Amino acid sequence: MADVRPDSAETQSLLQQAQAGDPEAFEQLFTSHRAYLRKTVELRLDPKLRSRVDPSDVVQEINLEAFRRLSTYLEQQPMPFRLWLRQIAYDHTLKARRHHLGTARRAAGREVSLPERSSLQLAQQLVAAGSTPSQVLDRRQLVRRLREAVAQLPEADREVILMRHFEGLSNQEVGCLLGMDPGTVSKRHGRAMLRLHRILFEGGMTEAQL
Amino acid sequence: MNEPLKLGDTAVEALMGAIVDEFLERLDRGERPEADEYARRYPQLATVLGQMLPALGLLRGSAPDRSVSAAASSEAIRPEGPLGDYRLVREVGRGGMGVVYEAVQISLGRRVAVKVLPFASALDARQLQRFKNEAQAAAHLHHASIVPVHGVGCDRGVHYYAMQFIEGQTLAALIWNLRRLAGLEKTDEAGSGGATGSLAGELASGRWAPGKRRSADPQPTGPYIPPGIGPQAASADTAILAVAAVSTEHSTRNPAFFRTAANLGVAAAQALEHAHGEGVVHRDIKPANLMVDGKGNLWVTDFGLAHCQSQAGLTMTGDLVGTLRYMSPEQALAQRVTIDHRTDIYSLGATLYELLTLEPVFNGRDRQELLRQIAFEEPKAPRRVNKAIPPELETIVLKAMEKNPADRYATAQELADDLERFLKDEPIRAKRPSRLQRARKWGRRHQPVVWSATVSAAVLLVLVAVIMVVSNVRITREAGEKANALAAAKASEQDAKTKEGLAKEAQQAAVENLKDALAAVDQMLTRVAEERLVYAPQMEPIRRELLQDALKFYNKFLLKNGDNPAIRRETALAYRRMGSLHYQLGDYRRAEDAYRYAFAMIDELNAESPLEPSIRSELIFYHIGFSWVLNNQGKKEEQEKALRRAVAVAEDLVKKLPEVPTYRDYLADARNQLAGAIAGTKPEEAAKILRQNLALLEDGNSVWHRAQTYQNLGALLAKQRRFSEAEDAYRQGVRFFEKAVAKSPSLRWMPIDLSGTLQQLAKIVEANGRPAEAEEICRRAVPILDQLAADFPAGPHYRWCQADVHFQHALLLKKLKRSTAAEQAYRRTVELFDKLVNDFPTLPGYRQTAVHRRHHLAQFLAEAGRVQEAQQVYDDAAAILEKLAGAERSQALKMRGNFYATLSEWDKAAADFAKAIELGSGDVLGVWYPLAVLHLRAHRPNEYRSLCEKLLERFGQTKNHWVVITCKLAPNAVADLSRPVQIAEKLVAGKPKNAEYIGILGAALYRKGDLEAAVQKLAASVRSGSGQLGVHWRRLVLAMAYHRLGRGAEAQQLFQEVTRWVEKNAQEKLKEGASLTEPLTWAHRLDLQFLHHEAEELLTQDLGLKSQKSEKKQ
Repeated sequence: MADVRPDSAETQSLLQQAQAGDPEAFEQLFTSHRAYLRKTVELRLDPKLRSRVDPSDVVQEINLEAFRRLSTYLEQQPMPFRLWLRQIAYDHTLKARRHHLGTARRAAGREVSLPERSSLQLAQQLVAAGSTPSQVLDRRQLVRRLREAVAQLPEADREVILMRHFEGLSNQEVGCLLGMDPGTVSKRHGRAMLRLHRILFEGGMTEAQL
Repeated sequence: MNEPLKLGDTAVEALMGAIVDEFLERLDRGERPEADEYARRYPQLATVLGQMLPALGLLRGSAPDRSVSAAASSEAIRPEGPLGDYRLVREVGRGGMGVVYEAVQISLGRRVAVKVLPFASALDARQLQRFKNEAQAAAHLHHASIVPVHGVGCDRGVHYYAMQFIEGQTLAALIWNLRRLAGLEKTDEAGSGGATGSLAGELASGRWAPGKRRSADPQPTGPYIPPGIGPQAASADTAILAVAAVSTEHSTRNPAFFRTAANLGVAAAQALEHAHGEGVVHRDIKPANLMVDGKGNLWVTDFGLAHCQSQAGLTMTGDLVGTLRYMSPEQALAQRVTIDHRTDIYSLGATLYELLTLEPVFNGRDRQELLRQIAFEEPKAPRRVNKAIPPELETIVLKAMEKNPADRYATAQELADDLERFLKDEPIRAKRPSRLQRARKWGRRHQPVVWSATVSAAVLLVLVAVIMVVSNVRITREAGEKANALAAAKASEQDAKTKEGLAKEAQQAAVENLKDALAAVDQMLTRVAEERLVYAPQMEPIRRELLQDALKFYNKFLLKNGDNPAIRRETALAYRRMGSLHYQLGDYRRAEDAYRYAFAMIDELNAESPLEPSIRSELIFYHIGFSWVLNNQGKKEEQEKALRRAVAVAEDLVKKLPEVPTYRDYLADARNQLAGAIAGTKPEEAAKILRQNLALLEDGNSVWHRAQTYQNLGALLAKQRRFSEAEDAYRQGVRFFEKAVAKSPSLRWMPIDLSGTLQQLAKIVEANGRPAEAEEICRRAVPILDQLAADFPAGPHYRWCQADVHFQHALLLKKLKRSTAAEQAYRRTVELFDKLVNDFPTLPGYRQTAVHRRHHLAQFLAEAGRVQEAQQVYDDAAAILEKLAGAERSQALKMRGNFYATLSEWDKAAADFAKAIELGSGDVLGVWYPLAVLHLRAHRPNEYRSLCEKLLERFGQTKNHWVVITCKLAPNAVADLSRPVQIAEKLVAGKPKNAEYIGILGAALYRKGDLEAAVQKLAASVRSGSGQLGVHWRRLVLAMAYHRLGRGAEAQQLFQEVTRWVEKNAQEKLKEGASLTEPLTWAHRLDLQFLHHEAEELLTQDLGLKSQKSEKKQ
């Protein structure tokens, strides 16, 4: 079973420095995780929100929040730094989304902005596996289809798919973030895959099935 | 079996979860689990698994932290049956370039490797032809270290590339295994791990060092391909399994390892040299394309493929990051620019770097980050990663990897030669780059400065050239010719032919690259041109050059792309940058134009759809930058309007997105600017705006912005002479700057704002009459600036501030009569200024200030009665003074003349003033007036008169009251005595209630002989005037006027009063006041003396007459 991967040696040594009171260490810590956080945030920002929220700003807020909580974290270190930051990011993205879109979680037309390329690959592969070559669709359509499919998933399922696949987190790590045990994550994951399959290949799901 | 699944069945969900978990885990381990296998194992889920599992491997590819696993990113369908002359046996590897199969060439019965090109379907006929040409060119390469290409072909739409089968591992796999052995990579499960490390173990132990090659071929075992590092099969020798156990801790520090690495480098470089000689550039040299066989021989593979890959638009796939990592700056940034053989030298350097250090040169996780690193970051010195690496190898690798192609080895052979020199223990040719030395010398403390000083110039130039080429490729041929100037000629002709035809497909990629490149240049500029740290004069020429180059770049960019709607935001930014560049180069008119274009572009964007917050936040700074341009052109009203727009945009952002703290900071910035701009004209509103800022920032984290606001408020209040409020504001400013400094200790420049505010506060406290307290405050700023100056010795700014604070301190200490400490501070400030002048000889103003500070020291010494020492200080200053020119020189002469005068060296003083006038000085009070006084003192009335005539000639049309005062010193100063009267009338018309002006008018009238009018004005002036020095000369003139009107009693009475005052004050006040801070007391004193004397003569002369008359009467 994949476990919770520890932070890189570099991160660990930076953490030690931060703990020893080196004020620059945190900045370096954050800098080295910035790209990852930005990607995480981008993955979850509804395109509609993009015109109102700049992912960089969310990342900066995460920075601030992390800075505020850093001393507590350094005392306890309940999880790897990467995951800890990721957790703050998760809270903040949720907050941003809820703030801007209200609580209408299933607003029509909701989309998840998957990275263009990976979704294209996924879509191609799915089509290649499930249909004849003559059914090759316009690339753009494929991307849209996949985005829509992932977006149609309930939030919990969607998160598991994003975390497990796009962020490459293990069950333990996802569990850490969502506060579940790894077994539950695995089950969620299975359910999410089944639902995604249903949406993609069986003409979608009805509200009742969600 | 295919009955529809029931959703919500938790058992099925759990099973599905377990299957997917297992599948992902196997993918993580680098296996390639088959969907079919799972479909068979779990028939009830067969459909779902068959459709979903194949996708998972691809999804996994985008995982962060696992870029190495970004392997299987392209669709590859294994063809059924033979492929042309080849029968596929098994899949042995996979990479961005496609899937590699072990195969048998049917006609010859030989074992080959066949690479199926998944992207070939994306190519059109012309591109395919080109690919074939390239591959055929590669097929003609015959070299012991180049994997022979047997042929290219197409069968049933599947394009392939057949080459010799190499029994071995890629360098990527080897490095990966070495890392694993060294404990840098997560260890695999037992079983697969041991065998795979065997080659690596050998390499690490140096078993392939010269003379140690084994004779026996290793037997292939089960294939193991670490993800993403294909393309060919890994094989391991079970016989040498034990070697894997060799501790790498020990062996990657083993000199033999480095010799082995150097040997591999020699082989690769020689292979490249051969190819380059045949006109073939590889373009994709990376660890995954270098193979090592069981004998330790190196093979370069995949010749002729890179081109084709980039044309198929695959540059956008996730695998690019893997390839990008080893790309040369010119290639990575320009994609399709004409690139010459030196790109391979760079990439081989990067590959060797990774082999030596076991770390990639650049670790960026995404495209943007990598591009930035490749463009701007210097590779970490290999020996900083592993001390055991021989310094020569470090030098060689870094030389191969120079950002600028011209700085690399000119040919692969030269690289091979240097590596061989290292192997033979001969001195290598490559020189350690001086940049490196400089960087080391500076150390980490000064990194920002080093960065910009050493790296930027070269890099930006390359970058700018490269980017220009990118945009050119899309547009014109003519520009393509310029590309040739950058890249060498070999490949360019071919490229030029295809350029036009390919322009269309390249367009999309080009737009992407343009955006990236622009962002890179932009970031660069922001740092180089605007960073306060590098605003250093000895870098001024470089900086100016950079700015000008950048300007050219933007110019060209806009010329080519200005009307491209896809990059309008970038275009607007380019215009803004251009505006900012013109501004920094001092061309305000062009700057204004550029900004106006930027705004037009933004308006266009806005008309289409509401602007994104990020653009709107940028817009704030557009307006602010524009306001600076306007300010410099004296367009105060427009400046104010621009800043009001900035504030409006920021206010709107904050209103709509109150939860984003950055926007509040932006608003605070904009308001601070606006308040500063209107402080003079609308102080009340400025104060109100600043107070709004304070309310806005009340509970935020932006201590720095709060501090700034307080500082501005303090300045504003001080200007309004509301000193006690100003003091409070400055105290708050100090408080928050202290917090800001504590909060961001890594921002080493930040204390400058704290020290600046402390200095302001000290001034205010002094003005509030508490010099002792002011001294204490000032003393706090001293160590801060000493530290800053030590931290940033390269730039003059902090050092200037340091010298300045010592000066302020000296003045305060002098005031407190702490002479010893004051002298120390004076001498320190003089010493610091001398050094500044010495280090920055071209900087305007510094020399003058240096002279000025010396004069203060001299004055201080003179006042202490140490006239000799004072003279000495002056003599020392003379050398500096000699080097001054124009206005600076006349300024310094003025100061020295004044000094001489205070020492009663009248002739020397007069000579300095005269020289200053000759140099064009327009300082009537400071130069002309004292010279006039000195002429009279030395009884040179003619020179006095001619000076007054010149004075009128030059300043007759101005409203300068010192002109009139100078002309009133003696009778008949000028031929036309009505002209001083006219000037004085204008003065009074401007300020009818100003007693001094009225008195001046009276004096002028008196000199003209208009006695009645003179008396009227002078009497009014004396009545409302205060009891200061100025009033006494007016009373003397009035006395003379009375006298001549026959009002002798009044004349006498006034004259006696003034005489009493003069006698009483002459000793103390007048002499004591002789200081440089009130420089002309001596002149005023003489002025008063002259008038006193004149009046005395006039009155006593007439008294004499009177007495004679009375005598006669009697």
